[in-house]
Amino acid sequence: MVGSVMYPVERLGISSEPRRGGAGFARRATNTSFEPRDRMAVTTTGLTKRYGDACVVDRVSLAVPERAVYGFLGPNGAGKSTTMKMLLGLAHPTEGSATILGTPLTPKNRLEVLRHVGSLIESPSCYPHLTARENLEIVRQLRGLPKSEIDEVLKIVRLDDPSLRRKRVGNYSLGMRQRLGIAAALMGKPPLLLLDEPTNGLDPSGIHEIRALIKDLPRMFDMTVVVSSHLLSEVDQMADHVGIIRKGQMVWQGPLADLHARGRHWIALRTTDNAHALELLSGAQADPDDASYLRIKAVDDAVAARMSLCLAERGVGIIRMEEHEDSLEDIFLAITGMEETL
Amino acid sequence: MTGDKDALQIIPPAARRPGMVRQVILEFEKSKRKHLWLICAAMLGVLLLWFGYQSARQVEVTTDYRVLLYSLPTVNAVFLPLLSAVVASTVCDVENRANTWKQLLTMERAEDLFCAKWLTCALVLAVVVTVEVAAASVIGGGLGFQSIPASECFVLWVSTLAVCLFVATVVECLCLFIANQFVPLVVGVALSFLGLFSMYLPPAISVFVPSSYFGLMSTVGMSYNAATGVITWSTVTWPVGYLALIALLTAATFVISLRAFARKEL
Repeated sequence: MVGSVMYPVERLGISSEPRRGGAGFARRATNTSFEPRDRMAVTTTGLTKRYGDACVVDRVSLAVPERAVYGFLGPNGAGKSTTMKMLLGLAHPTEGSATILGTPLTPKNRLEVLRHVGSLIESPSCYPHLTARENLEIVRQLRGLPKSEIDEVLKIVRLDDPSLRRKRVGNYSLGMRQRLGIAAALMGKPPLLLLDEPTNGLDPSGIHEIRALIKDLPRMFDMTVVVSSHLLSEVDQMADHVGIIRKGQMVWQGPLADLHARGRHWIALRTTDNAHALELLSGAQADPDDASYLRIKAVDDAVAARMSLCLAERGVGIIRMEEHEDSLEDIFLAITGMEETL
Repeated sequence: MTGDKDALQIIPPAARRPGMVRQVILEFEKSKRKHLWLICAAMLGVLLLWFGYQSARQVEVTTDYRVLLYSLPTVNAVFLPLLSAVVASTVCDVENRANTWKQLLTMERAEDLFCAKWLTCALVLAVVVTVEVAAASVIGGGLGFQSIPASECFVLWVSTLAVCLFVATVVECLCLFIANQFVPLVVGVALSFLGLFSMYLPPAISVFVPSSYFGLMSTVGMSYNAATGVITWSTVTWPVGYLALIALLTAATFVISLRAFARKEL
């Protein structure tokens, strides 16, 4: 009867597979977890870029919902910058197409579409012999914006200190130049912002500041932000949607919450008699990482309470009960099949 | 495609883009604190000093204004290729140093940017050549030479500017495709160096040397009688064929560079 009172395998059983799919699921999965009603700020269809025989971007289909912070994640050389350049018309796609804010991007309408897109590609663009205000004045005139825009964006990126008024950008720190680059991209509060590795070269406080700003942009200005990064933790902290690119191929995209949900959740259990507990709990198994623990699939509080009561009734005391889940890095490695870290 | 007409309705209307005049003004704003005019003034000052020194030695022999029209192109051949290269390099290099190509080309057409930079160089060089021709006339008058007829001044102005624009176009092309500004400046220095010897090159060779065109388009001829040691100056018809050739070369360089720049991927 011992076994029969225990919880069935499907309720307590351990699954080494992720909740949906698994490490072995299709690499080029086009998981677009977006509802059809979602309006997309950016979509691409089979976007491809080849340089000779080298395929830098391979049939990438992006789907960036409006007002999302979309983390475009991938290791260096994965094709993030090239994809973003194609979205800006700075590189011509070998195949495929892109639609920006509902308009198919063509060489003819490129500039008209890009008037509503702010961008910062690879490194900040600013004239070192001019002041921040003079730099932004050039952007302002090219975009045909009112003068008040300059003060607004300088305030947003906190470069409005009067002491900086006459300081030339050549004397700025890298972090300040990066903020100025973001200010230039924000000019006119475009509905779409494309930022390529915006925290590159920043110190920890600068990184924190830029991340917080990016996270707030959709709320503050109804913006959609596409931000590329090779740092998992960065995307985890900023983005609500994520696209993972590797060797030019999109391996996964969807809401960040869905990515987290792909991770395994389990309970590590240490008892006074693990061997007996193993017999009692159907689906339990020895923890492969620590022999003094058992591992069971994550359960809700009520099931966990009943389980502990059941073990106690049969004379097995619980010493430790810990809930575990895969880190984003584990999930990323499972998706991409990459052994090395980013 | 659902059609651009429908899709574009999603995008709110945006402000107007600046015209070419505004873009040229922007190029001058970008060159702020690059001391472009100061560099031009300094080089022009040295050029005029040399010209004045040369002319002062001639005035004892003759006060014929053609002496001035003959000696000015020789000085130009040395100084103006370098000055033209410096102007074009200064105007174009600001983008390389600021890493702004990618940003600018999301806001303006590559063709517009190229033309704005070329027009900026052309404007600066036009001012330089105008000042030079005017100053040369004043210097000549001050030294006691006959005053140069306005028509001759105009011919000199057109001929000089044409060569400067060719050099500036070549250097602009180099600046837009080569981030290292050493190369365009070497071209300028090399052309100036060649200019030193341009008057001694046989015509068959000098047509291939841009610096030679300052002299080739001169409306004054010189003959030296070795037996008597007398130099005689004569007026020759303006060789518009050379002007047409340099204008054609400039236009070809401009169009090829413009197309290549517009197709360039960043």
